[in-house]
Amino acid sequence: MAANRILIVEDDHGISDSVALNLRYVGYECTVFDNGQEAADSLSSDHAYDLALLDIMLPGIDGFELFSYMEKYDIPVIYMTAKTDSASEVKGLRDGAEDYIVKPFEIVTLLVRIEKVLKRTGRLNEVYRFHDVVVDTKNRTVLRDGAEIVLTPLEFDVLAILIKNKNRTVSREHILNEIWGENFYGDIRTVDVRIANLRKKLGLGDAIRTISKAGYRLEERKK
Amino acid sequence: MKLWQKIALICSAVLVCTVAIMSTLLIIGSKNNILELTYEQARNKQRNIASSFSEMTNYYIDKDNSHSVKNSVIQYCFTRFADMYSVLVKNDKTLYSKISIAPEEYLDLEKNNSESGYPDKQRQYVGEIDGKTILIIGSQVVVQGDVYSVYVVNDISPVYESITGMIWRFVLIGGSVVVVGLVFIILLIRRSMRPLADLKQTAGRIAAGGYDERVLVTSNDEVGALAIDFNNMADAVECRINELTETAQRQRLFISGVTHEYKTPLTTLILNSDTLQNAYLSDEERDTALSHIASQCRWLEHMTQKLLKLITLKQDIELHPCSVQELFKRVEESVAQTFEERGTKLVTDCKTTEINMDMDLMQSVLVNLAENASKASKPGQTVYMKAYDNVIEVKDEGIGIPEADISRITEPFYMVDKSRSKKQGGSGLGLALVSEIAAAHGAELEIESELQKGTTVRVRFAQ
Repeated sequence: MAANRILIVEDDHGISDSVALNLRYVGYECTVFDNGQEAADSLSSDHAYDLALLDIMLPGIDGFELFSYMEKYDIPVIYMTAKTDSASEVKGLRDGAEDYIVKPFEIVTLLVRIEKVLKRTGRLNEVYRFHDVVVDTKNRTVLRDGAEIVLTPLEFDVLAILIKNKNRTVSREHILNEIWGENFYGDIRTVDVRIANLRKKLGLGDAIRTISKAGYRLEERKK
Repeated sequence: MKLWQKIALICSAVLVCTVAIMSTLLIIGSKNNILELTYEQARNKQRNIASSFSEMTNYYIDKDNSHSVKNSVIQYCFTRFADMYSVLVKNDKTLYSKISIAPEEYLDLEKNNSESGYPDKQRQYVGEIDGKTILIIGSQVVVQGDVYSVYVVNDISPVYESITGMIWRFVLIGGSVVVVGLVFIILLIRRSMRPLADLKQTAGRIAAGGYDERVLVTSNDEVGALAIDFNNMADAVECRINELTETAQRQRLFISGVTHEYKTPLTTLILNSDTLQNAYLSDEERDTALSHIASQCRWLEHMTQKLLKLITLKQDIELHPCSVQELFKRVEESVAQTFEERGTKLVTDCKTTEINMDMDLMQSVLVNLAENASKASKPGQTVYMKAYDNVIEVKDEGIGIPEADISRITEPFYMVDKSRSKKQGGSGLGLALVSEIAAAHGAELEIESELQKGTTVRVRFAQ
């Protein structure tokens, strides 16, 4: 199954580079433009995007104008902007944007929002691959070399978080929050137990790296 | 106690006192007059009776006449002149009387006369007899050696009654005068106090935030003058409040501009540091992230410097006569590199010797304007910097500014083409700084521009 394709239009390279880098790491395919007009022009030849991340203040044509092009090709839109006034927020959402993220934002937040929008619009690729492991988050199944591996629900949730944040460090707190919600103050060590089980059951001993004082990271590449 | 009550109280006290004193003086005077008149009348009557009686008896009686003849004549003569209030007495014996009062009991003429030695002197007595005020006038008459006492008894109670009546009338009239006067005084005072009440209400409304409230000036007395001064004060307050509101508004806009401007670089910093911390990066990717962080930090630093200048500039600056030639030389040196990089040329033409200014600040103005001009120009184009009379001018042949943007271009963070401007390292504060510095010099900033033809910016100093 193909990875989700995301279109990024942002004129600040410091932001677009970093966003694209992180999205690619977790398994999205990204195309970046720093000019609204160029992005709009490119759509006629290639418009198979699952999501567009649009800045509002853009050279060429601005984000709000660019939205009509996205609408034409049925691409869901998340705005990224420094404008905090509710007027532009309302305008963005009323026009039909799926979501709105205000600068400065965190990568984790952006990833969660992207996933939510993709899921809501039924575009989320819910099958993730990692070497010989295939995780289907929709049917909650895990295959290794084509053979199903039986995981407990908690082990599966932890694996899903790691694989969705492939190549990124995920803190134990983040994992706990994602699974039990923010109001749960459980023993952080329960995460360690699931990780140990996952390493054993899936043969991911090296791939799931413990990053000291930070958390865990599912590493795909070697430097 | 309220002012009108105090004034009314003082006025009424004065009024009551005046009326009372005047009435008393009038009453005393009238009473004395009336009594004097009554006494005078009574005395005349008695004198007439006594003298007529004396004349007549002395005419008719001889000293040879017998005692009984004498008595008859005397009786007859006295009856001729006497009325019902006259009494004739001889040696304590009443010869003629038609009243119950014996006047000799109250007024003993014998004794008095023998003491003073004037037998015909008229004497009087006033006193309370049987519940009435009685005036008795008496004198002695000598007839052929015999001494007779002639009395006239007057009941003067009605006089006193009329005096009492008069006093009551005075009290009544005085009282009414006081009451009516008081009513008028209070009405007048309240009327003249009404502008003060208006003033009070208006002051209350102004205090509650209605700074455009004013008092209607209706009189030209002290209250009117106060109202005029009050309005002047309200004008001053409103003016100052408006200034403050405007300043606060400007500052709010400025701060929201600052925070907005900081958001994009901060996003870059957060995203890249997050990436460095959490993602598994190749060396090349790490270098890119670090270079983004470094460049954004430098840009933030640059913007902070400009902001600081803009803020600290509000303090007073000192102006000295400075050589414009020298200024131009300095500007040329500082922009030389930028111009070389962009392939633009700077031509200066100085026709003014000295202008009152702060050399460093003016240098930053011209550097800003020259760099803007260079950025607006294509490589190979020329930027002209001229000085003549009291004007310094920077002119380019570049892309120009859209007319709608010219009026806003000196606002902090305003950029005509934001992404192009940012790429060239613009902070959106350059022209804001230029206009602040010009204002601090008391100079005017004039911007003329035509799209694709170029822009001219003039700093016109006060003469």
